[in-house]
Amino acid sequence: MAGMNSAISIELDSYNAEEVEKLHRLMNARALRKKRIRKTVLVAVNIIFALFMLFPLLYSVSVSIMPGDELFTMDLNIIPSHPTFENYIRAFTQVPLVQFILNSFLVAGCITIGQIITCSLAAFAFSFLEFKGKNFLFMLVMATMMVPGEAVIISNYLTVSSMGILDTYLVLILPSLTSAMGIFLFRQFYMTFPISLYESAKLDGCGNLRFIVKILIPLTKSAIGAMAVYTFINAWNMYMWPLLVTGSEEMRTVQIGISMLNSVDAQSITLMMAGVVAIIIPSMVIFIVGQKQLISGMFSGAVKG
Amino acid sequence: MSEITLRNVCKSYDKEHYAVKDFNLEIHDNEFVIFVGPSGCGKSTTLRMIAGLEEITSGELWIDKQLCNYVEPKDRDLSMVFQNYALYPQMTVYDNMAFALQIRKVPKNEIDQKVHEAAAILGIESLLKRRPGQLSGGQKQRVAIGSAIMRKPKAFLMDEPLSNLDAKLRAQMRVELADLHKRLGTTIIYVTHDQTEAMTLGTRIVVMKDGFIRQADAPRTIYEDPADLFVAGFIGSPSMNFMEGTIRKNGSGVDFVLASGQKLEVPQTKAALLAGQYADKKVILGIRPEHFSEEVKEEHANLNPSRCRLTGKVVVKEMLGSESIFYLKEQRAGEYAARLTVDTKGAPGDEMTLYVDMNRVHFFDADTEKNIFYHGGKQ
Amino acid sequence: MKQLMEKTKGRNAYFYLIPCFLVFAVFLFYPFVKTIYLSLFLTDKLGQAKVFVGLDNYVDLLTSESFYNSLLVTVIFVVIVVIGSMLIGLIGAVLCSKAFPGIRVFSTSYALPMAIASSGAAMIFKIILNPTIGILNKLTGLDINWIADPKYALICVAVLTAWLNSGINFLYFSAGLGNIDESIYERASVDGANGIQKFFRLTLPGLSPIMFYTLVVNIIQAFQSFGQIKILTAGGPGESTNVIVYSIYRDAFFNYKFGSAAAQSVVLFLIIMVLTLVMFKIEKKGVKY
Repeated sequence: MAGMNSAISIELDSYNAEEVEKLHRLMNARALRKKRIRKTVLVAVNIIFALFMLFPLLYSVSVSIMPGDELFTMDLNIIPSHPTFENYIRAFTQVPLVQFILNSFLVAGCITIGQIITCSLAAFAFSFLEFKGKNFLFMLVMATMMVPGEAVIISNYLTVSSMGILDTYLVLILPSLTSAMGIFLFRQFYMTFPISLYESAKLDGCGNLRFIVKILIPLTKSAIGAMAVYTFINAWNMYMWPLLVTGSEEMRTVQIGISMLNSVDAQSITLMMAGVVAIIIPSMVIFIVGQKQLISGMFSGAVKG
Repeated sequence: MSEITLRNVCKSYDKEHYAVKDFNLEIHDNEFVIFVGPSGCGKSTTLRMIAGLEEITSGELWIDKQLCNYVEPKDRDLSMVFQNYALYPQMTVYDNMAFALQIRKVPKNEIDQKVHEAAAILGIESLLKRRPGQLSGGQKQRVAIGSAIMRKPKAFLMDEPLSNLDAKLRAQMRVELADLHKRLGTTIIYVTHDQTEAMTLGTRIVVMKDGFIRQADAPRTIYEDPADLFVAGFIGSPSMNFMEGTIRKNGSGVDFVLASGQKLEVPQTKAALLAGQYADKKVILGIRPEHFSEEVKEEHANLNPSRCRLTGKVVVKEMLGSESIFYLKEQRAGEYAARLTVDTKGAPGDEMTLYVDMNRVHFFDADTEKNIFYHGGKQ
Repeated sequence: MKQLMEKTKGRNAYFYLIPCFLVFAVFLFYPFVKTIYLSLFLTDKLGQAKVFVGLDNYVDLLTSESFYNSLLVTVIFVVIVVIGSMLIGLIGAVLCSKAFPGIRVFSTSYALPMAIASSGAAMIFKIILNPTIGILNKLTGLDINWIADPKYALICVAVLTAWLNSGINFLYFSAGLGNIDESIYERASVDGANGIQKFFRLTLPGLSPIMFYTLVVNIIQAFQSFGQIKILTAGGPGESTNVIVYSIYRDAFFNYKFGSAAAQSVVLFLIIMVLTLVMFKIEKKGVKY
């Protein structure tokens, strides 16, 4: 009650309506100002932090529309003075960027659909059916999360090369067709449904597959949405595996295709940035569009459990 | 010594609708004041304004003669018990209770002593090492109260602290709270929607509705001299029975005539005023369930037995052990409840004739709903 | 009859597991065993096991300075990445914990790095860190060859990785903050706590359940960083950014020492497994609610 308050304190006994009224006005103005300052500071700090976080992206966009000679100056050149789309045109004509993008869409799309199918089937069995070794198998699935992909990548490479499927779409898709995380996510969701949902469907003569397609999938749209966004972005951004198993230009995914530009002469930096921006945009758009879905799907079931 | 004064306190969120309007109240030291009313009446908002958790839109809040509208909650030196207890989930019970002292940098041994004292009072010594997640509702409640009594604040604020407990525990905690108030000798401001809690705990009850104070008085005064129809109906269980009727002069006397034609004689003390201002006008008669009886009692000597009778058909009979509540239906006046002795005979469907203690009934203006004979708290 | 039904129902269940276990078997269980097998052999250039050498590959590793360097580099890298990415995520989540105009734009930008590929990000950083045309030197007025200097290279890739990993941490922490009951802050204000006390006594402890989960996920993720290192520094300069994963890649696909690479893979797996198990043990003992 000391300090600032003593300056504005008014005694009830020496109550004076005018004085109180004056204080009200003063304090209301002060409170309003304080609220405004607080809000302004919050927004300002957010703007600074967001600029800091987005700086690499904003800068890459800026470089991608910069004419090549503008980059090579000693001046501070954050924003291009003569913005041009030429880099993008060059990127799409000189590099088979369209091919890369199509490849990546195909691969990431297949992986996404495949994971949703295999994971929901497995999660269905783990949550609604009783069978021998259920707990053991589920633990086995969970344990695979501890195995880093890099730890098995050599053997996988040797496997696929002996199968003779190097440099095909198949080899890009196959190893990622299921994921422990997906099974876990779907199972968390299915566990929130009462077993009676399944039993009553059974009594109505509904088969398992029918139950999954007609009842489970419509009920788990948000989980499927989250899973789709997450899987697609990860598949789109895949780097090590495609690097190892693709050789020819026609099979390259976006990440490999673009990083190949890395080695060309420095004059092409702006072109390279245009390419990088072009391949970031699809994953970014999918993320921004699916963000709400991703958050609600990932956090409503998974994290609390 | 601590006094809390609210003057013309208002709260509005959008400048048009008021959650609380012109709230005037002086709370004296050592009072147990209850804010009671239906949900949305502004009782919690008022409490939160006193705590500093809500801004006061206009009006003044004085604590110990200091204007406190603009004092931060942490500097008001109050302590509060929340409806959901608001225990800190990551802290043990001990730390939950010690928190307010810890952040005031009170020496450790002093804190330790106080925690154990408070825990002993509330019988939660064995829980000190647990976390809130491991406690039952009643235990959480005790911890919340224990945390509040660690300090000697100017007042305790309690926001529906018992509403999450089951009926039995609630009754038990009520007794303990009353005892605690006596022991601590500090002002308590207590919010509830439960009129039983209000009646049993409070030294003063503030009945609120739609943001306005309807009446602020001692529990007994509120019960016996309600300011208006709302207060009369809200306080008491079963509620007061209301019957609409007309005031008619009848020779030297004055009658209250029900829609069915049934007449009840108004006692002398009230006859003059009613005959003067309400002759041939509609009024609402309020009868507490306990003011019915099967026989004419001694205190009804001033009444004409044949003119204070009400008949009805029994609809439901509730046997409570010490008494029976009869729910009866009068042809036109509707249903009413009567609290009678447990020996009273009568089964659903039976006709009953009951005597009304007309000395203790209330008359309300049918338009303003005000109690016509309200004393204004000064009898 | 009923038993029969139970049986078919039971057998039926495996049918739903076939697709996922087929993939796991071919691309996880089998290669996992094979990796252990390979780590006990000397291999030819095609990765065929030729000479059984027992634990020699491991002995070689444990006596090689380069491997210890790899371990040390990995540990430093993981520590910087985990602390950095969690701190960034936490700051973002705290900044977005109260509603204000435009909050959606900001929360999206803080989560956005999770949509960015490590390779693309690495290429952007390569330009930013370029000693002559890079914007970092221009902005700071420094003249440092960030990537070519062993002193800075590891920090650069670690900061880049922290940035990449911070997006999902922001989401985790935001969810964690949302789970904290608002009324405990009110009680704390009445109890006399100021903003700083509330943050350290209520907010941080309130995040501890999600903090633990995030920590585990972050450590595992940091151990597996590859793309950004390959593109930005290729393990260099010298071996200053040669983390285990990169070392595995280099040994297997440049030096054709599949046996040694396999042994390193097994070590990597063991490290991650032990870390995970230890952390879960600690959690069971420590954090209780």
